[in-house]
Amino acid sequence: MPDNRISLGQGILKGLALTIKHFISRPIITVQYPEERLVTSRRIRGCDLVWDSERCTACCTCAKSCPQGNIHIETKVRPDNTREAVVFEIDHGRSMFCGLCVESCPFDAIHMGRSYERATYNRDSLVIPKEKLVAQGDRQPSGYFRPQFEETLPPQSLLIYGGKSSEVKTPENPPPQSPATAAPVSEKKEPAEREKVGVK
Amino acid sequence: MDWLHWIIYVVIILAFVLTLVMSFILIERRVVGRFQLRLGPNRVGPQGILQPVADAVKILLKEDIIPSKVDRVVHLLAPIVTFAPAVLIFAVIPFQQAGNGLFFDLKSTASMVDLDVGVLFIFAISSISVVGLVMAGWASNNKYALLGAMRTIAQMVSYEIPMVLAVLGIVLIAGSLSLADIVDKQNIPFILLQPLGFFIYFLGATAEMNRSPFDLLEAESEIVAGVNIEYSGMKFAMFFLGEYAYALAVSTITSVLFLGGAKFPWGLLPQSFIWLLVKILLVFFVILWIRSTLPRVRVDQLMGFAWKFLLPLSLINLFLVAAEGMLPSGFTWPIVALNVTLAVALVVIWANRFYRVGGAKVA
Ligand code: SF4
Ligand code: SF4
Repeated sequence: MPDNRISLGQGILKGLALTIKHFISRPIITVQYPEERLVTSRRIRGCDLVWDSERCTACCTCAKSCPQGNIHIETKVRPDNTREAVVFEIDHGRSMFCGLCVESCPFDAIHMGRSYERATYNRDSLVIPKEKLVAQGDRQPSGYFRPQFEETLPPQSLLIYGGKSSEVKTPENPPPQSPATAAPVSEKKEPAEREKVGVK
Repeated sequence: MDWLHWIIYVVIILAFVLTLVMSFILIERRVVGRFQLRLGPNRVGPQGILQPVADAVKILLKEDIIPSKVDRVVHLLAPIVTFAPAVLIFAVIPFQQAGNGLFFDLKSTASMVDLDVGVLFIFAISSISVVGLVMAGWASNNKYALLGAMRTIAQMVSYEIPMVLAVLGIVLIAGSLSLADIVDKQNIPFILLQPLGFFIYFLGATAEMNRSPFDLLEAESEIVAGVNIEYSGMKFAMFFLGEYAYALAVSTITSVLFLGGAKFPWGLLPQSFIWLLVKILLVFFVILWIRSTLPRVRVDQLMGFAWKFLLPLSLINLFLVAAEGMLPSGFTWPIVALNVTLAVALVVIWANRFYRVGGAKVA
């Protein structure tokens, strides 16, 4: 069907104007990874699990809920009839980071971590014993299923909301990260609150 | 002409072509990256300036595979036949005119040979690279390579015609086929006297060197990589270099024919090869600008564009130039104004005509 619109070549001119505008004025959005990093989502399920030795009652719920059987716990009864975990190991190499252990822990003692750089040279070093499982260095808990941490974490930097420049974190200037113990942890969570987290 | 002159110019031209081709590769990647809000290569050396060197080393160390069923001799010759003409073109390019210059004065034009038929030489030589591509497509014994080659023949042969007709306008104004004479005559750049000619020539040249949006030769989504699909290592690099040497040649020819070559516009500053270099980079930037704006056209659109749009326009343009040539001299500025108006009007009218008759559509 013949189209009777008069074309003055506006389409091509508009396109050329747009590209030259991008060339001149739009900031570059490349994030130069090892030097620059974006702030991850506050609820990231990163490549590690963070354990809180203070809060853990060695109830082994996490170990039972793990679909892979990655969590290895050996317990001992203390004189005051409480239990303590003598061995607490998680095989990060087999974990699929589903977060079921985190969701199942009745005492908020295990959290998903925020880190995503966990490459190693051998598989054995992916089995992490309890001394190394606690929050330390860049092994910090994320807000996944833990709204009490989520509130303290910096918001995610999203490139679609404008330039990266203001929000990019450089190694010299990392955003404040909450240590596992810094945030006040609600003793007993109401079921309603859990629901809210799921919806949010 | 003594032998020293030849040797010096061979060295100069090879150095000029190779350094500029290397920098064009880097410039293209950085500039197109900037257009797409990326950075482009910036890790090898400061601002990535050593990236072409790294690429060259990589490609030299690559295995050179010759598929078992290729026509060996033709397969080996094809990259050379494609690359060599692009370098040969520079033999007639005047890098600087005779007379006073910005940095140094010259007794004669700074070109390897100042052929009386320079324009003819350029178009004759540049057509040879089609033969190289056809050889590559045929010898590779691969359907995609052959399809790419067929497209290339069709494309290059079609676009050659409007391109040459557009340049004929320049030749009519300058009254000479020698590039040095053409530059000499450009007291105002010929792009102002020949806006329509420039438009046709530039589009034709973009198609001729298989640049986006006319890069059907290597439409990855349709024919994988086109003619260079069976090539690897240094032979592939020859094709790649040839493509960029072609871009350089087209930028140079455009600068010489339409933008006044080594002359500063209106002679405000003494002429120098620096101005030629600046113009070459400017033209190349426009090519990149077009590349990062327009999507690739279809084959039927491509052929329709050449035969139904560019060819009639170039004939009208030639007629107009011939008619204007009969006017008494001294009407430069009125003619510039008239030509710019006519160019815009003709392009718009013909584009709509073209669109109405369904020129760009499958009938
Ligand atoms: S995240 Fe999932 S797979 Fe990994 S240890 Fe916890 S329950 Fe197991
Ligand atoms: S479920 Fe929580 S409290 Fe129970 S063993 Fe696992 S981490 Fe410790």
